[in-house]
Amino acid sequence: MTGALSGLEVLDLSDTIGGQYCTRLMADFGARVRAIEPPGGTATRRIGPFDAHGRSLTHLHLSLGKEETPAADMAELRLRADIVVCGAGEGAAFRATNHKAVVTEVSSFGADGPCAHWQAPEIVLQALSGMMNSNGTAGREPLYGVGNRASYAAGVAAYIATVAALLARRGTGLGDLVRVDSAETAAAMCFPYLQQYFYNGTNRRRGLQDIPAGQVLCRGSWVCIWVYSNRFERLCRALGLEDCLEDPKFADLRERSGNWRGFFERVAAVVRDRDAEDLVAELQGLDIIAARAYRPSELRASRHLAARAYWRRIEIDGARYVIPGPPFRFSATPAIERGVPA
Amino acid sequence: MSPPLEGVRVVELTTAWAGPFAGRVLAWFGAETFHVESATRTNTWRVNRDAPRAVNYPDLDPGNRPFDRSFLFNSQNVNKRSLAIDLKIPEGLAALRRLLDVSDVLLCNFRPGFLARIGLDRATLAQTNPGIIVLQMPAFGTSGPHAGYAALGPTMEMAAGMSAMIAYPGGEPTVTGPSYLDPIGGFNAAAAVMTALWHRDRTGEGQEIEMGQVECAMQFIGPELIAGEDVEQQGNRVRDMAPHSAYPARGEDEWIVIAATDDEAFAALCRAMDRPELARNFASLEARKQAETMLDAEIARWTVGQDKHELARRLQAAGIAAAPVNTPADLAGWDYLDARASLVELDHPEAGRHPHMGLPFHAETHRGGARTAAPCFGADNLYLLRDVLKMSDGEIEDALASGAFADRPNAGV
Repeated sequence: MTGALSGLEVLDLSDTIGGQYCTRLMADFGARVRAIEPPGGTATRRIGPFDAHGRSLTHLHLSLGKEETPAADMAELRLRADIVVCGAGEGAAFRATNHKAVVTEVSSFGADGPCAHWQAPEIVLQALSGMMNSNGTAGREPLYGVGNRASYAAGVAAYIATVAALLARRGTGLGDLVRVDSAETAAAMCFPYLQQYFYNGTNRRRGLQDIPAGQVLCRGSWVCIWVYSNRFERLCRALGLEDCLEDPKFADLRERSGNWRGFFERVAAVVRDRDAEDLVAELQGLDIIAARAYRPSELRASRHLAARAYWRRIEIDGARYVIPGPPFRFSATPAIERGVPA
Repeated sequence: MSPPLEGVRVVELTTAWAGPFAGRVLAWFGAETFHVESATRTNTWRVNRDAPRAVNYPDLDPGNRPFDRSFLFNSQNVNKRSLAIDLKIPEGLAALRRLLDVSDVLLCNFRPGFLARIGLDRATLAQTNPGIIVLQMPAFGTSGPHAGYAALGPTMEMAAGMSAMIAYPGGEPTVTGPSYLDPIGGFNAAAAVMTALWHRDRTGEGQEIEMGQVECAMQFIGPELIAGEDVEQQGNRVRDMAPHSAYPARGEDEWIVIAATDDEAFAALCRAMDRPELARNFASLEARKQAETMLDAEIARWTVGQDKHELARRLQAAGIAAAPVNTPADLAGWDYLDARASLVELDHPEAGRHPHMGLPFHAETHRGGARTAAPCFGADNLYLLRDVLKMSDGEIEDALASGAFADRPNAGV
């Protein structure tokens, strides 16, 4: 067994995306992870999307590399686990019988506090976090996002805090009780408009967003372009929009900030028949930041990701799946390899 | 009890959000973390490239040192030390190299090749510091045809496949806030470093970590990417719940989200709305999906005059997923963050005393935390020379005379 976390024994009793992504990372980096599910199966088996056989792809993604373990084994495993990942309020009992274990509770709002019993699908977490307030167009409803990113983030946060506690254990031999909430994690990831509010009382609203960026539709695909002040002239010349350099509406950043929409309409008109990939390559060649808004099928076909052998093909119960590769790559302790290059 | 990373030293060659966020996580757990800039190349979140805009500063006042008063920089560099070193001047580069000899971690969020160009790649550093952990976090990784592409949060969210799945009807991709990939990258980078520190503690072996920010973020939509379908997104609607959207509440641009997570939750929502016939007529998800536009309009008519906070509390008490769409002012007053002690007041010598949002890590024994506000530009130059590198007064004088160290950025950078 290789992997940075090899030799560590993990007991996954979590019933959440966050808890299970935390332990998925542990499995990726070499820990032995045993997952014990509640009667009726873990809740993540009922979270979509589902494949044609009715299998939850969320559960599939979260359970890779883990050992499904009967509940009867728990009594023994809990005594020797290095790490136990569980739900809110469940940790103290494990700590009581295993002082060396790092016990990590992952939940939406924690076991106490004013929201402890709140339901928390992703849209709730994004709304509360402050992030959703910025998403979308002024005058229309704010958009929540996609998937379950706040819960996944809580999984990474729980992983960080758990490994931190393991590092601390070196000195004392004693474990710790760690708590991570998805709701607090999501709020900590919000663009720091809260700091702006504390600094000067500005209550930032949707549509006030004035980042120097916009998006344009090329042939069948959207491209996002970011125009730093010192790249504005270069962009205009590259696209044959030299007249914009004379236009007072775009004279400096202050003027442009109120007129990005107008500027990107001009850009859109000249790039609409361009191939998105080519346009991005041309702009990047000029040191102008741009990217294509890939759809899932386009990511699967990406030459870049293929060159990096990012996609992996695995087989489960006779069905084939293509899964994303490891989140980061270690030179000395690579992630456990799953499947074969897709 | 001491924090977990006490005694660990981190050097950051980072800018804007993702890299500094990663360093902030390590600093939170007690690592001594040096954020390195130069007078000609400042962190872009000091926002001193263009003329000052009042909204970036305390009391809307740029003051004499606006680069030390930016809410952006000051939110992400809590607990850190600041070095302002010109790496093009030999004395500056030499000092940084000596710091790296006594450091544990180097974080870099510039494009691939940057470290090698200035002679600070891991192979070179390892000659004198074999245990060092070097993490590079370029947007697209260090290999492949897009490795040299520059990126920022919004363009990375597009490249990761997320934005195409966030859209109003019509399909124009939408970015999450100004940037969501940055904190995702920051968390992942910190996770990677923690992992490498664990390995090094056991074996003494340092290593190089490559983290493509786009690739680590794609894991966050892993299930959607495994499904591999190009979804035509319709606003806030999702396949497995209906209704599921944001609805107008009392006040200007105030919203409440409500999601009927299952049939029972929808029935409970109908009871709260006093509309039993809706519960009867749309008891199944299939029926609700077909009537979603009408149901959304009915719910909006009901929510529009109500307070988003009070209504969300009432619905949650009835077992219905609901929440106010919080603005910054709402977050400042959110009792949940109080219960978690998420907000901590810190004194900043140039920006004053303000609350700061913390990080979501809680432990019973070995705790991290926010201890000091973000550092002023170059505040720790002397600390480096005297206390870390143990230079004599004469050596310090020579180093400072070289012009490699600054306490103000040059104009216009």
